[in-house]
Amino acid sequence: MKKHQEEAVILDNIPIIGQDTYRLILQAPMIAREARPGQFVMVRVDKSYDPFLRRPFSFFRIDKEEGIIEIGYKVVGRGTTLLSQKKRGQTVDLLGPLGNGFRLPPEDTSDIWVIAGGVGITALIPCLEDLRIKRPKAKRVLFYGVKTASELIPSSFFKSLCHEVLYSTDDGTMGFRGVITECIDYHVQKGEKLPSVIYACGPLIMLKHIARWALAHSIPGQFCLESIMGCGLGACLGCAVPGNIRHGNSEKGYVHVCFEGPVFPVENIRWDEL
Amino acid sequence: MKDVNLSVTLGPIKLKNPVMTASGTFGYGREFADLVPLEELGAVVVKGISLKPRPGNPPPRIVEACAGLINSVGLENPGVEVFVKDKLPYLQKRNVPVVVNIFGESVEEYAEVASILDDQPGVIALEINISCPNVEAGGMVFGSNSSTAGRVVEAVKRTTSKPIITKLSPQVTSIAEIAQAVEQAGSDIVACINTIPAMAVDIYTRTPRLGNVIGGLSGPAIKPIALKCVFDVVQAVDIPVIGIGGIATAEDALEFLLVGAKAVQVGSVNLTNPRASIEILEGIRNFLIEQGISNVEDYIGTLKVLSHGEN
Ligand SMILES: Cc1cc2nc3c(=O)[nH]c(=O)nc-3n(C[C@H](O)[C@H](O)[C@H](O)COP(=O)(O)OP(=O)(O)OC[C@H]3O[C@@H](n4cnc5c(N)ncnc54)[C@H](O)[C@@H]3O)c2cc1C
Ligand SMILES: Cc1cc2nc3c(=O)[nH]c(=O)nc-3n(C[C@H](O)[C@H](O)[C@H](O)COP(=O)(O)O)c2cc1C
Ligand code: FES
Repeated sequence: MKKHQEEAVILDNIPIIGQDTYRLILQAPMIAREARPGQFVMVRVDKSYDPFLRRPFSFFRIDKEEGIIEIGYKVVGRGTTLLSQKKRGQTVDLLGPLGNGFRLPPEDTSDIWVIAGGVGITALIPCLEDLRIKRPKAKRVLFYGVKTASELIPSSFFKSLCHEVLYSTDDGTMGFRGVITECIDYHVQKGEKLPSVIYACGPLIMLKHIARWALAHSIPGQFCLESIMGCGLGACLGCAVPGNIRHGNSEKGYVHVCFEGPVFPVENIRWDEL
Repeated sequence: MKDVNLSVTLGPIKLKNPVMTASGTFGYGREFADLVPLEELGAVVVKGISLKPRPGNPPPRIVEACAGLINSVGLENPGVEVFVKDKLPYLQKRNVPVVVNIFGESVEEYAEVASILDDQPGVIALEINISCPNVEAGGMVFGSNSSTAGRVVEAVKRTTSKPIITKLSPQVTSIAEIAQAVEQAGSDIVACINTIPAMAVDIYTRTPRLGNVIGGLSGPAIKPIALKCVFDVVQAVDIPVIGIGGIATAEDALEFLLVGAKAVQVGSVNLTNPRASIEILEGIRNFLIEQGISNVEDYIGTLKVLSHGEN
């Protein structure tokens, strides 16, 4: 996989839910050609040196034929605010594709749970697509949790990709009332069969709970993690998180989200130290 | 005008051009290979290497600052053995001139790392880091005092035949004095500056933003400070000086050459623009052509400083 720096033309940059979550559609043929679900791009949100660092975003859609990629992002600070102000026809400087994508489960996998919290859904949609194509026999259940119903992205983005969608909202405005981990507990108690593998992306606190649950039940899982990033290329070592991949013979290892992740097998992260 | 001669001579080493990458911002070169023609650079300075592997500091290790960043990576590296076995061969095979940045927890450790690298082909110099603000032992404790700085240089000099670059911290009473001390101790070249000790805090959580509490500031924000340090050191020593700190454009690089740096290192901007080093090189060439200067060395150190009263 070759990394490219590409000046991508903005085909559209529009709110997808409410006023703070956007989809950015980009003509980026070089990156699209090599991109895989779970990988990400580093976006230079401004030509100046303030903000200085690029911002990482996962692929939300990859269209190799058309040379189009899409990212879904939530406006949370300065960089994403600047990004949200960009207009159709302008360009942004992208670096990608970076990191390792989601790995497919074994051929005979029967039940897959995809667990998405908030804007984490955007990274999991191409993952679901991939699973549908490459593991068509497996049952795919999507657990999708947000604070309130108005934060859900339209179901047209994922309805056709899974057999079942189980919503949860903190305020009960859609599906189960409560956080996503409670929703999972509820369904397990109701007799839902435990999955053979899980895929998860969302807020850290959610990932921690799900990781603990998956480890307790010995369910293999792939977790898409975030960390502050410097280069995205594996050069600055700024994106380290506590993990179990050993480097040399150091006692306390770290894993690097940008090049050893962002997708990690659940057992490779020391969740308690995060 | 056809083309310009960009080659520079820094004491015992000759570079095909004055643009290198700065340690810690360019990995081991390979990370940028898809984006930058590595062999066109003056040299690649690799991430700091120690005798034993080091896991580095706890995260978060990076926080953005105005026109720059603060890092507390803490010199994470796989150790010199793994470096020689797994990282260096790629650059050697591609014939990229390599400068290895080294550090140790004791004078002996610096010397031992240097001796292990002594017979490595393609390594054109060793850069001694006595200026890292992110580690307790090693790093800045050696660089903040003339006599310890000199001792490290002497020890390394004894164990290697490679040219030595000593990299200095700006966080000292007089950087010129430290530069003179390492010159006296036998350093062939000095490089300045390393990052500037800095910190950031979160007013809501009331916690430091870096796992290590303090870190080092780098990027365009520090350029004026770096330029002054280079200016001071150039006056103070006879050995060549490498300018580092906040260089993001060809103009920035030319400023350092103008005050007398024989070469520059491009650091943090590699994170923002991975092709910065090569674009800076192109920019320097174009500037010299435009100015009708056929040899970059004719431009270096040509700053006109009026004495007081003249202006
Ligand atoms: C591999 C990866 C993939 C990502 N994919 C997506 C995505 O698809 N959609 C999306 O909306 N976001 C994604 N993020 C998070 C996104 O990068 C941050 O939200 C963004 O960088 C914030 O930039 P800002 O300038 O707006 O915020 P800042 O002004 O920098 O900070 C505002 C707030 O955001 C937090 N923040 C800053 N940078 C990060 C970061 N890298 N990760 C987490 N929190 C951060 C800060 O701590 C602060 O609380 C991803 C992050 C990573 C590491
Ligand atoms: C993430 C990061 C890691 C660094 N690691 C090292 C290192 O291992 N050894 C060293 O001598 N300097 C290290 N530095 C310092 C740089 O080489 C350089 O001196 C400094 O960043 C100033 O230059 P700049 O403003 O162009 O980045 C590091 C800097 C950064 C930002
Ligand atoms: S962000 Fe630089 S190594 Fe991961």
